[in-house]
Amino acid sequence: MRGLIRTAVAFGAMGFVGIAIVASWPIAEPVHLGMLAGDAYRGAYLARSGGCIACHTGAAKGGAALSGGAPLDTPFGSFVPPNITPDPVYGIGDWTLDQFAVALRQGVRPDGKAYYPAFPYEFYADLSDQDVADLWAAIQTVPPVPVAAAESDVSFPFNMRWGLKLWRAAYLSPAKISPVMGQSPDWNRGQQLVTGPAHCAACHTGRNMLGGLKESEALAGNDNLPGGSKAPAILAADLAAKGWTVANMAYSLRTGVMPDGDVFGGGMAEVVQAGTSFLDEADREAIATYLLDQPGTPAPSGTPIADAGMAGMVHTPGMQMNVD
Amino acid sequence: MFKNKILGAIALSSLGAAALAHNGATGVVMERMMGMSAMRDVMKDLAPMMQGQVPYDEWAVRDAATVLQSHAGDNMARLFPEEPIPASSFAKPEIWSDWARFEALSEELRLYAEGLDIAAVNGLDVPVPIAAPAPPSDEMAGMPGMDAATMPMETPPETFTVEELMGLVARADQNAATIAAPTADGKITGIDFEVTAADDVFERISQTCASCHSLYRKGN
Repeated sequence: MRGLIRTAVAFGAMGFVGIAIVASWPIAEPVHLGMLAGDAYRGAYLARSGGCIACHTGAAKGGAALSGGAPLDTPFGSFVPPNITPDPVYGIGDWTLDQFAVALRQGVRPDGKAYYPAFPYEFYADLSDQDVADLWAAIQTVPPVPVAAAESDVSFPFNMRWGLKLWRAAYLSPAKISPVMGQSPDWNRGQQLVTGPAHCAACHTGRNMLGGLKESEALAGNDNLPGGSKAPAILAADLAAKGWTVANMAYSLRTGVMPDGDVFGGGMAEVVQAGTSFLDEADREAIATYLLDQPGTPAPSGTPIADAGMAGMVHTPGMQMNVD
Repeated sequence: MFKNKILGAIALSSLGAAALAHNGATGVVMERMMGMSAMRDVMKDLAPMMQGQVPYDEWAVRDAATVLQSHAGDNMARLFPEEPIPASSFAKPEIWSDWARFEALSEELRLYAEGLDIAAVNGLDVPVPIAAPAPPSDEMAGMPGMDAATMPMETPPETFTVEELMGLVARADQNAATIAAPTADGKITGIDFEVTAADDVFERISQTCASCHSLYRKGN
């Protein structure tokens, strides 16, 4: 009996030590953006493209810009997008640009803890330093809102935030976007938006039981969206079969009208209303151009330019806009 | 011509309804699915026209506006009696817990459809108000086809301010909450359909559809 108790105590102690080790495991890589100046317009455009405004503003209830969004109900609990106004207490006003960069691209809070993947930071991982500075400048244009957003309500054991470090080790797949030789600038711009900040895969790709994206099923649809919705497959063949063209998809991303005359509802209506309808026409066409001509696996003539070292098309990470 | 198109729309909507009926929809659920299908079909026909991909046909637009009107407003609202939602229906219970908003959106659709009928004559360009013609310059006066009263204005470029992009102000091309508040006389505040391009009204209709679908329809 005594031996059994000793064994139990030993396992318990090992468990605590294991948790302590995981909890103290540093996951953020330091960045040094210094005082890099940002362009508020570019940042604001990126904030729309990336869904920051859509998610962090409770527009349906008349909430102030970026003061916290509508809860995202998932099997793991209800996640409330926090207040990211420049308020120093309830928002992110006391953060440094470097802390903002780590949060956005690496998904790590200033206190070193990990964000839940409800925040799609994986898709922001390839934003350039300048993109981050632009977004930071845009956020400074928003009035601080000294009100806390509601707390997320995450069920056990997912409320143990240290566990996210294990999740990251198992499932994290940060976006890494390389221009593809032989594809048009529109196609490459579309690739950048779709696989990066527009984070189409966050809804249109299925997830495993722990919320990790199933990479082998990229953009093949997701029947288990928060709230019980479904996102259809948006692979090129699926889209073509339903009558999508570059022109009608660009139009749809502005107006919500689909080729069959139906009009988006659910999450996609919000994406259009609060996101893609604000984009330049060239960007909507770029998204459509890419989606309707996605590289299967492997991509046609899919030599990453950065690796090929071709003159004239150097891989420049970041979200340079078409509107220069 | 007009009757034929209406009959065609009814026939099409019946076909759509027949397909939907296979999913088990009956009674009022089937009736509203027929209405939605009829609207979907005219939206499908109008969308390429509003994008300039097929020639603009004023009378087709007016016929479509008639179809939309006939399925909007009270005609739509009355098809949503509060009752248990059958599995075949895409309706969400929020329709009844938020009835006033649902009814307002339904009425908004009717008013915009009415507006589309008025704006159909304008085509895809905003006519310059005749009451305030731009004084023709000497240069312009010498150019053929540059009559200030009928000269179409180019659609302004779609760029938004930082304030609009950040959600600090409603963007200029839309009503704040997409729900246009009808005034007591049943008009929509601030829109003169007689000087509004048809595609502008069409896009407002699509925004109304999207607002309603995102709130009250299951799935996308």
